Amino acid sequence: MASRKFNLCHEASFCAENTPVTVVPSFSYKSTLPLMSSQRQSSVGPFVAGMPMEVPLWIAKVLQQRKLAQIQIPDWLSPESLTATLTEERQENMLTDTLPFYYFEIARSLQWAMDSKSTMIVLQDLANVRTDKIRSHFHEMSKGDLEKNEGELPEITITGICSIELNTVGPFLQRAFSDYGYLTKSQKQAAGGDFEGEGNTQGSEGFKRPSSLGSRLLKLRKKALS
Amino acid sequence: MPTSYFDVDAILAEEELIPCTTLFEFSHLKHLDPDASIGGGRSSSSKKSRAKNYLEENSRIKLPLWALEKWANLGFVRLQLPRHYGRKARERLEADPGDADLRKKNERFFLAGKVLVDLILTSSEKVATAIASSPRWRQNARRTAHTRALEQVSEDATLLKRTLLKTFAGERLRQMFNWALSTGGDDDVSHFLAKLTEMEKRLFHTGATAVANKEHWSVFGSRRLVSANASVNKRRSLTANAQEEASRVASPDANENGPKRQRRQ
Repeated sequence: MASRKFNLCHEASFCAENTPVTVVPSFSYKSTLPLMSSQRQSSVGPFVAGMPMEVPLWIAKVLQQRKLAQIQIPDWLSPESLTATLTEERQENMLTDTLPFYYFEIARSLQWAMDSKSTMIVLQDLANVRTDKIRSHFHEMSKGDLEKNEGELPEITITGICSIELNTVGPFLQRAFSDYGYLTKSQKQAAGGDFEGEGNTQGSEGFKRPSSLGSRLLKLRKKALS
Repeated sequence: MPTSYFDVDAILAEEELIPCTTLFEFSHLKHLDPDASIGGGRSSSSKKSRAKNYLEENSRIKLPLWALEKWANLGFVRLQLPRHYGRKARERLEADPGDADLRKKNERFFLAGKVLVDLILTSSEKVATAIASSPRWRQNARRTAHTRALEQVSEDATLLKRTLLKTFAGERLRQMFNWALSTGGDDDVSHFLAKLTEMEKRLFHTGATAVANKEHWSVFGSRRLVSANASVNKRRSLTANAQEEASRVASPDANENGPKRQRRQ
């Protein structure tokens, strides 16, 4: 089955484990533990029993599993704030940017630390609403494409897109833009003469890099991360 | 799609037969003419009658794209658009892009169309500049008529390119996106898939597998990521997946000597 291979979802869920969460340890440890994996923290500080502190998610899960600490659910993950985000999503036309990039993956890892079952349902709804928004935006753009179907595609900036939506619609859109770019490209002659100027000026190298249009989506990802 | 020389799609797409009109007489090629009767017996072995098997000027023949490329660039033939890329077919396509069975016409409709358009435009340009740059005393009515025909074909080809783009990026793409994102009902999709060209089919599959992966992941979770020298490290280490932890009983330091078991979810 293709879904057993290492795909984007696995990579995303792994990277999500690096986000910091608040944890209340039940033990004390005076010195710091050095960390290799995180850019933000180079070490996990001294543990004082009962005092909340920030650790990466994967450490938090390890500690909880060993019953050495208690994870505090982040603020945005409580059912009330999720429902509020959901109503806001339904009203707005653009995607909200209040959610962290890996919200779905984080929620899924913390699923068993949460006490209310309704959070996952609200979360699924949220993901569906956002993907639907992207879908309708794409439909609009496709209708707009027909009007001016030569030349460059505009650079599309989508702020607030998160990892789960990127993994769902990303591959399709990347490939669709790549194909579109191929159909738009004009063939430059070997003599170096320019053609009617129609078509994508990015295709000036003949057939090289036709998927450079598709890599605009990677720019979206980088923009969302920054 | 990047088209290298060995690209199977490009090779198969160039099998498209293009009707064209020869501009000169070609000897020894009479077998290309579909109306010719290649008769005569052994007497065709003499030199004189062998040269007589020539393809006449202004005869309409059909050749595949890959064969035509050199001839078109040299100006030996005048290209025309095949029937299913012609004006009537284009109009029909623009009227109802979502339902057209492009697979029946050519499995690689878009690819073949694009290659054809490129060929027509480049070859017309080359031949037209060659005619225009030839010295004045060689120009006559026939050549100007030829240039005008080239212009007409180029315009037609440009329109074809526009139609291809419209068909691709229009209703078909939207339908494909919708179907790819919906996770239920594979049966409903197969009658839609039967009408898609190869290019669109691959696009659809990319989208559908991405969604299927996401669904699978959201139910089952990730596999444990195993380090490369797993056999060296015999200690059973903790996983990153909470579901496994929740279902596992007892202490984590058990089984110190056993080899690391790989648990797949």
